[in-house]
Amino acid sequence: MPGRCLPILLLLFAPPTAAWGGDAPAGAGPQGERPAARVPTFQREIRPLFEAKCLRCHGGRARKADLDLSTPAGVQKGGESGPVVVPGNPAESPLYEKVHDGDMPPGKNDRLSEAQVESIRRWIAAGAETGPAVATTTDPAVSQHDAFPILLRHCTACHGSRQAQGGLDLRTKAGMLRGGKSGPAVIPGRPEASPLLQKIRQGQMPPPDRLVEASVKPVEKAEADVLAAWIAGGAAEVATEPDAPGTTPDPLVSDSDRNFWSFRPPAAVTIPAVRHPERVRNPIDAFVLEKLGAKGLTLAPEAGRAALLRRASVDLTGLSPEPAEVQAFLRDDAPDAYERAVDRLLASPRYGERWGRFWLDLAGYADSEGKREQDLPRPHAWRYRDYVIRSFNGDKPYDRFLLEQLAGDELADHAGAPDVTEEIYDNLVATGFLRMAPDATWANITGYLADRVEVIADEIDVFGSAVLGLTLKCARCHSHKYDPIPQRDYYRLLDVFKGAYDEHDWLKPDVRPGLGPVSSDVLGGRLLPYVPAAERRRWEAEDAPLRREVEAVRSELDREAQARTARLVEERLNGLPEVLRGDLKAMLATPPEKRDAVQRYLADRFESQLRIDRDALKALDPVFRRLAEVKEKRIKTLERRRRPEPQIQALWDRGQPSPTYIYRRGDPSNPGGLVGPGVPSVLTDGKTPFEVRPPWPGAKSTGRRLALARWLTRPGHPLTARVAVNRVWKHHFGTGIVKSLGNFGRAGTPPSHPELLDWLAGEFVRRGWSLKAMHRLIMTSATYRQSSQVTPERQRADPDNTWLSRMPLTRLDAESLYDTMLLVAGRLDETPYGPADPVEARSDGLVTPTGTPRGWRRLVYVRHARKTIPTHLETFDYPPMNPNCLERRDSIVAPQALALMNSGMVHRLAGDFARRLAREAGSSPAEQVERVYLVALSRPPDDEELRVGTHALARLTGLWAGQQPAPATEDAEPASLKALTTYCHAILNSAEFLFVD
Amino acid sequence: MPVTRPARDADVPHSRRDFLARFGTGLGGVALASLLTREGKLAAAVPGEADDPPPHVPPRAVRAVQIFLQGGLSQVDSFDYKPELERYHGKALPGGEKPDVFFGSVGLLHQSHWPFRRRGQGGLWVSELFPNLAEVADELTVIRSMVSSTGNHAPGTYEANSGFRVMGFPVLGSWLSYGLGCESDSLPTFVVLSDSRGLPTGGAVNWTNGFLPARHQGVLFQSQGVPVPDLQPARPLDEAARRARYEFLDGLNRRHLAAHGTSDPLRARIHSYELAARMQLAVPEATDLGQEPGETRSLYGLDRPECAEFGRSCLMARRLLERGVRFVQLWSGGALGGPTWDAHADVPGNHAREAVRIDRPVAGLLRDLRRRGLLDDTLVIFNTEFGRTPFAQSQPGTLGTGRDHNQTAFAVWLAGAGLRPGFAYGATDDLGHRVVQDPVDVHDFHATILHLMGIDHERLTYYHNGIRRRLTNVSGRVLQRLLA
Repeated sequence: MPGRCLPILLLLFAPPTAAWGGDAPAGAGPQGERPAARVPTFQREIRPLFEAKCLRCHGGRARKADLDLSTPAGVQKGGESGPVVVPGNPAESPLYEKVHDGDMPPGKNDRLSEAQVESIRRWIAAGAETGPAVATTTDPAVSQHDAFPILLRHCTACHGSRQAQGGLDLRTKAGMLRGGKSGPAVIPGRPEASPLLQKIRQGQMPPPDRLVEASVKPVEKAEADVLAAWIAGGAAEVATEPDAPGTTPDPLVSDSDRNFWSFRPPAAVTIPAVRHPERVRNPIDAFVLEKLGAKGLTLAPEAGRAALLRRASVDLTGLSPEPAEVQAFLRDDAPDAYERAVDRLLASPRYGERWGRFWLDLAGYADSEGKREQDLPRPHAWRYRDYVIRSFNGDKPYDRFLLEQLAGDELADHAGAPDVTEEIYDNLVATGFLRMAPDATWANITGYLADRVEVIADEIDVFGSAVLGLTLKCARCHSHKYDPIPQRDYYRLLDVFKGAYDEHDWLKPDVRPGLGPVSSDVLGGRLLPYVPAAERRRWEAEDAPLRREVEAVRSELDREAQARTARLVEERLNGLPEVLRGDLKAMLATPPEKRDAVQRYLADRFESQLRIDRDALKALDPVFRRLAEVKEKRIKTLERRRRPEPQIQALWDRGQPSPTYIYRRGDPSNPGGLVGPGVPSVLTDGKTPFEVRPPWPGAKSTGRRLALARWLTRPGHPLTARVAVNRVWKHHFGTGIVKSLGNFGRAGTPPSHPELLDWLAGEFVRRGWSLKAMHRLIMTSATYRQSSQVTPERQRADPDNTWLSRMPLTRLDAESLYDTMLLVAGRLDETPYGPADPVEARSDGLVTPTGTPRGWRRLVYVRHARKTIPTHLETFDYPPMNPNCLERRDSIVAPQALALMNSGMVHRLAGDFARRLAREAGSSPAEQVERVYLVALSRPPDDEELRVGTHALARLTGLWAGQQPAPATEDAEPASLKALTTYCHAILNSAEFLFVD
Repeated sequence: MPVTRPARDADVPHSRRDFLARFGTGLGGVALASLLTREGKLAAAVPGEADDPPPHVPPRAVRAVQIFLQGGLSQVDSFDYKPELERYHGKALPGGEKPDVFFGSVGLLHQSHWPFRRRGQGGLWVSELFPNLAEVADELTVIRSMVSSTGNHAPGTYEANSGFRVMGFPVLGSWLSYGLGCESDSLPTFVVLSDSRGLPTGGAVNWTNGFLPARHQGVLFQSQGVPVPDLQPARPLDEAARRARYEFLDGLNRRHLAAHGTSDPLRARIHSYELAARMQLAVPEATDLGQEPGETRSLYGLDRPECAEFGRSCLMARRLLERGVRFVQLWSGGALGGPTWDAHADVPGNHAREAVRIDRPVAGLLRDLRRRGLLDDTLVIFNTEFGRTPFAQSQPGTLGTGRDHNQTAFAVWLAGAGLRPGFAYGATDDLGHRVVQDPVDVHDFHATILHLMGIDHERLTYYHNGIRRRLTNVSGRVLQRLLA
């Protein structure tokens, strides 16, 4: 990597005494030297000090933060965050700051003495000489790598790939020399004669009145100076290979780093032999029993059959089993009855609605852009939600699932394909995964470089945390503090995404008229039209009549307006002198720019009274006003029924990525070295280049993300399978084998059962990355089938259930609770897929789904706009997607109790539930109680429960019957139904309903 | 104060554990719970849940109330006196400067629309905009050198409350709840009282718990009607039916508990129903202003129509704080575009209209807290998202009466526990346009508030998506000179 330290380079252009002369520059301020003190020299004092205190981590091979203090060149170059010494200015020198504040060296006993700190201060104050400079390179002092980032920040928005205003493209030197309409922009060697610099210096470019529109900041003087220096030096271009992974290992990542458990490929493990083989149903149990045995524990007894079915059903479908299923299962004595039940549940379309939702949390799914309070809608996001649900239901192999979401646009040539096949459609919709980050770049004032970089950083964060299980974002500003992820690895990864996510060539979120401030500068947008022909035809068929009718009504209204306006104009003309009328008519018929002097005069005098616009006409002509009201209302009604043209919110490589520079301290205005595409070195052997090929011959696409996705889904990948099976495990057992689901690094939690994790990861790949196979494996284990009973012994020896001495008792999550209440009440509309159901946001803050004619759909199909998340979801721990959610909390708090006890929704559903019971179980209280248990708690009541239940019903009926009916209500329900409603309301509030055993 | 008084009577359970054991399934115990709550015997503190629990430094305040002025209070018309601005009145900015303001119209400089006077013993400058607050100037510690990173309302408001410009990060009140818990187990820890004219722009995201656990979210109390959502049943039941239902449900849950042994989530569920039941009783009591004597009501301006609404909020805030609520946030100003302090066109009209709503109530709150001894350990925060320009928002060369947004300088104040009263910190240039001395950003401001509450802002953290998050992100310093 070329040493590119602008402050130092700039100093080279300053008069030599200022920087290197050894005297503090005049007026340099507080660091004025005592005249008698001798200035420490690098060779004599400073280097030995570094040797004693710093070089263990910042010298030779160990170069933490990419800093090498062992040589003058290294000291001058600085580290990944830029220079560490600013000659003449200790206060601005990170090195001085760190030793002065005691941050470095990190060990308490290694701290520098006051005298040593002072000596460093004086060395820097005096210019930080490092001895005679050794010319090691013939590189020019200022190269294109100093100039290009400045042009990218300030110029290429209008003089770049998508707009080359004035015919000028400033992305390359060739483009600058070629110039635009008014000739070359740059004349090498003559900065002040170069139009580029002239326009910048004179403040003409970037145009001050268009800065906000282009989301560009003005060029600062220091930046213009760099451009001047570059042009003065002949606009030199050095041949720099981007720093990409090669065959030489990165000194910042050692082989011992690679030896950390999660960075090694999953090991082949042998299934342990255990003392109680009779409890082993499959190898999972052997691993678990081995650990339990070491604690003197064993698995809990098997759960009751009804409990097991409810557990399996909620786990796989997010809904409790239907009464018929319960009864059939309880009657089925075949030895494989449970296994068949699991298979049935896995085949249910409800499965994808539950497990898809888990993935949507990881993706950070939202139906709105967020960030700003307008929270603009994303009207096409639902296709991605549907894609996820369909993929889970179809058991799409996880490797394929990742390939599509990370690089679907590079899997097949969508633009060149004759037809949009289901596969192409899926590929493109899948890339919506990378379009989920909160994003306000649709607006100019929140669309600046830093805002765009933030969106990309969020997507990298989503990718890293969801797929890799790493906290990559730490390496955005500096090398990772815990994991061996140098800052350059982060930027190499950014370069992988650059063909599609380019902060210097940005596609803004689409802002549709009526959905927010209309921004005139929206270019391109993020939508692709490649939906299957059948869907497009369906939409056309549905839309065409509506569109035609809108047009017809509109033109009818226009004709009417024209005729009436013409009459009015005629009347007014008649009020003007006759000699003028002909000229006035001619003037009105001539467009303003074509008028002659006389016509312009006439226009000035008379046009305002002769032009009658629509509003003026309405004011003048009451007949027209009434007509317009009727017609406009009709148009509105029709427009509301129209659905947006089918489009895909997608991400695709556009084939012209801008160069990627490391951003020192994460600051896009402080670029460092140039990097090329690559993946984190610690996850590779460090010696294999990252190979990128065009996805198909002649492809415009770079193929970088496809290479990333293929690398991720190679069978021996250390993280991909482990992270995925760990999540599956978590959703079955409440806790992951690695508890920190999104952090498999050193700051994460080590696995409780490392061999089991590796065995599962291996099985996952061996079974074709089939998630359903993993569910089947896990759910048919004795570990999963054990009861949730806590005994004092288990509580003592395994308080947190780390060793799985029982199943955990878990609260229904927000969606399962809501969906199951609807199901139980008979109000669940199971229509799948399609645009999200709207919500109603009341002025007091309550947000509720508005529902469908048949009831309400599952929550996953309700609109998830960031600002109006349904209150139920928020009450039950749905978090803000910022940018995603790796693990829901499962709090149990008073507002939940208040909602279940008192909210209108639960009362209403209790009533629906009661009417359902009356329908299904007739009027016999015993049968009603029987049915309540079967429907809501998925089991028959025992005798005691039946007795208590019928007694409670009788008592409630008596109380209701004794009440005076409230006057003036239509409340004609019999007391028995009211009693049943009250009873059902209690059941919906019971612990057994809320928890899964 | 009715907090943390242990129960003594022999027939009252001796501990919460005992209570749970006897009325273990929650709802069955409601009747008793209600009895005990009325007698103030069950209120107990609920600890916070920070893994490095405060206090990290000696706390000066144990509770706080924040008055937030949505829209941007003009500093040069309220707390930042600029005599030079009178000299420059009607002139252009010196040096032909053309600052980049929100709406791009830089008119002529305009002096304060209200005269300033030195007030109280300390001689703090306060303008006639706030005549009642001026009378308690000796209680105030003004910061005249606030800066914001944005001149845009919604992001500025998020920043003022959460330290971040984008929506969705936990706000100050949530962090305090997370760190300190509640002094009462019958009331929420963090209560929000919105302007009666409407919720602020963005609604509940302004008091979000973000990634912190749900119990730390601000609970919005409606100023009219039922103060808390779902506090009372949507379909009322008569007492007998309710009791029958409770008894039935209690039986169900008792059997369920017996079948499962002790389990944390079940215990937590019981606790949540208990708290819900207690809130049903405690909230109406705490929010019943009818219990306040007439003298107190008029101290808060409840007898004056122009400020009665905000007076109710201030008085309710005091009652909630007294009963153990940790943090109460009051909003002056509703949604942007509606009534707020955003005086683009007409500072005299806008600020006069808004100030009269809050001036007497806030002064009354300070006086009332003082005389009850509460101000010794209560922190009062009075802030806004940014300030306003010293020049008019009008065409160049003209002198309008509006002012545009100014993120480079604004004034806020703190009062109460641990502060140096009657003192002004920091300074702006001669025109009140930019901070020239001791700039304070939102992180410094939050770090200082946390410090006063006994919290080291670098130690109050929550691990979220791979990062130990803080209210102050990665900066912030305590403003030592503000402290007594």
